[in-house]
Amino acid sequence: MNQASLAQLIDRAPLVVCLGPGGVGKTTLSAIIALRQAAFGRRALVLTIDPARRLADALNVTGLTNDPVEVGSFRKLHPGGSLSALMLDPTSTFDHMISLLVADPDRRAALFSNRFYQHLSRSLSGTLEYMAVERLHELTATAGFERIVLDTPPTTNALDFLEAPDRLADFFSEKITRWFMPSAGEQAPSWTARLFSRAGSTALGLLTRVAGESFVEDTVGFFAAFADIFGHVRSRGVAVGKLLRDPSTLFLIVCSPDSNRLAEAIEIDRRLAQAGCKAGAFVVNRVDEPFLPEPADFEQAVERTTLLSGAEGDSERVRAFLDRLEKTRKVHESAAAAHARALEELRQHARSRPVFAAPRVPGGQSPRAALLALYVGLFSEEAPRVEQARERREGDSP
Amino acid sequence: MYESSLSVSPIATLLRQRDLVLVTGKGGTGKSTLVAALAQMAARSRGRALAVEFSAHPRLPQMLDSAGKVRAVNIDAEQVVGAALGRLLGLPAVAGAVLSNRVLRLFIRTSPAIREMIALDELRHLVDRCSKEGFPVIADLPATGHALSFLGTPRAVHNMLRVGPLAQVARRVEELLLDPARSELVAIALPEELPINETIELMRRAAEIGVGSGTVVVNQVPSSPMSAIDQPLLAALQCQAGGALARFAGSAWSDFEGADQARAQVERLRAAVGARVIEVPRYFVPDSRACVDTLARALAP
Repeated sequence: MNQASLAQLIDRAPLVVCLGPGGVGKTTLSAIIALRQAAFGRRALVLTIDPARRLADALNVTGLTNDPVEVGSFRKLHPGGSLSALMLDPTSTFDHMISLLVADPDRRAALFSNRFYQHLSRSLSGTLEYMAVERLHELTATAGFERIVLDTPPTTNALDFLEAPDRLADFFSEKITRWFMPSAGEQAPSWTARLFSRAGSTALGLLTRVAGESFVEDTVGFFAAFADIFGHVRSRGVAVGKLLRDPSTLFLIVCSPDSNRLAEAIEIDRRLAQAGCKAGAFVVNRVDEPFLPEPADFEQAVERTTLLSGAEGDSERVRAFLDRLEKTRKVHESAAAAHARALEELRQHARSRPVFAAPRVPGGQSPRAALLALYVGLFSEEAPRVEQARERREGDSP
Repeated sequence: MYESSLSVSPIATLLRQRDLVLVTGKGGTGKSTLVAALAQMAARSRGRALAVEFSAHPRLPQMLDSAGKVRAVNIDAEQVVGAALGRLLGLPAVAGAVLSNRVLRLFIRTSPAIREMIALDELRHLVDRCSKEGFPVIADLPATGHALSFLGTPRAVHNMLRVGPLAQVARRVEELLLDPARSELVAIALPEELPINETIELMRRAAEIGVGSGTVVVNQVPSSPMSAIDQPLLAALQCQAGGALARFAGSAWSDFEGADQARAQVERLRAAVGARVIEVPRYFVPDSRACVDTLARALAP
């Protein structure tokens, strides 16, 4: 079968969404994919919505913000393109959106001081996903990046993110908002009139019982202040929903070769399909390759080490050494066998879609050096080797 | 390697004393496996245990021995909203009316604060019931960053609402979460640079929130049978043996270095957090249930 390489797949996709269980190196892989796109001469951006601050560590840049920051530390790998990175900050995205959409400073100030708004924009999980949608929309529309790689929070939250555009559109839908909003032509405090309208009074009455009067006042105030921009926010949610379902968007499922995370990856693939999106490929990170010597090699090892340790032979020491070497071999054997089983299982699930394996990067390296080693492992067939070797040495130096 | 100089492991002591153990960590570190292992251990010492997760796709049932004394419960906010609102209002009939109102149902579903408060109140409710019967609840929280905002929800809701039934619920939940005699946060991490950074940050912020956080489990700590004195022989094999043996010698040495690095990360964690740090050696097992048993054995040898 003549399948596209990973490099070909990501070069075609204006938006790559990396999904997968946590702890498989998803953030690092997202950065590497953007780096490869930059090496193709593209203006590439990697956007992480994971609230943990990992991308900055791996890219060796401090102070990643809600705005794209150009990453220059791998410039030699992408002479014609550029690599930028961004870490989503939900609060400032929300505030930024408001300041763009609400022109009147008094209304803006009223909104910023509304407790419902403050809560929504600052304190709640879920807001992050809503705001990722907003930021993604803004970046694809205005920032001029040719390629965007989106890193997502682990599993359940990753799929929250997929559902966020629809939920956002729901949240600001007519169904909800009309109970809280003054209708066209009515004056500002008309929400009190709403309280006495038939359906509205049931809704608000119950809400008041559950959450208290001040909450309802703030909620109503929020919706009133938001009135003008509901339609706008809703249409953004719809636009990003379309973007995610566009055939050119590439969903990559990233996992590692252990049984728990493999099962999670397959589950993500199923749910993705249910949501009307299709994973284009799988990337299995940290696969242990078998460097397993045969028994004959060990006989050779006995001879060699006896020879090397001096002819008269410190046989005790050689025996102990070989013993430790054999124990190491057994560990490698179990790991490689477990990983081969996992890959086979995933290939059967993936059917015609490609499964790419990235070899485990040996430990003991800086995040930057590990990132480069992974880059080489993933894209070795096309990458400029000399450049890499030099980068790797520089990356290794403290 | 894992060492225990105490006759009773610290984890076992904790499981005997607390009503609620909240487990979090970076995704994929073995968080759910740890929840299942702790629940099994707790069931051994206290007769029963309840394992709770908050997921649209529960994983705990398949990790637990179905014949055992651990029950797994998944809290889905949308499913428990009726019961939670009934408790909130003291009037199940009114809760029913709330739920039958399409507008409010949609509002509850789309408002993250309300969804999470309802999930947390259900957790509190379960903890109260279980602790009366003398056994603990082990909760599988969302992964690190999300767990923090999840745990921060009661305070956020309370600050936003001040008064009213939902504010009271928030206060009740917060009282449970912040009571060091009843609740404890156990974090799980892998011995690598980025996960350890994240764990240090987690413990710092958990302390800010005020959640009792006494324990970090470091999972899959690699060790190498090789030692520093083997380096000359390994280097010689690498240069002279050729083929698979040379490559193997190289990878054996990089294993040794990897184990050394992992050790350094664990030490860095120990230095940075006040919490107890427990190491679990690296293991390869075929399925998730075997993972649970391995972890439980390592935590209470």
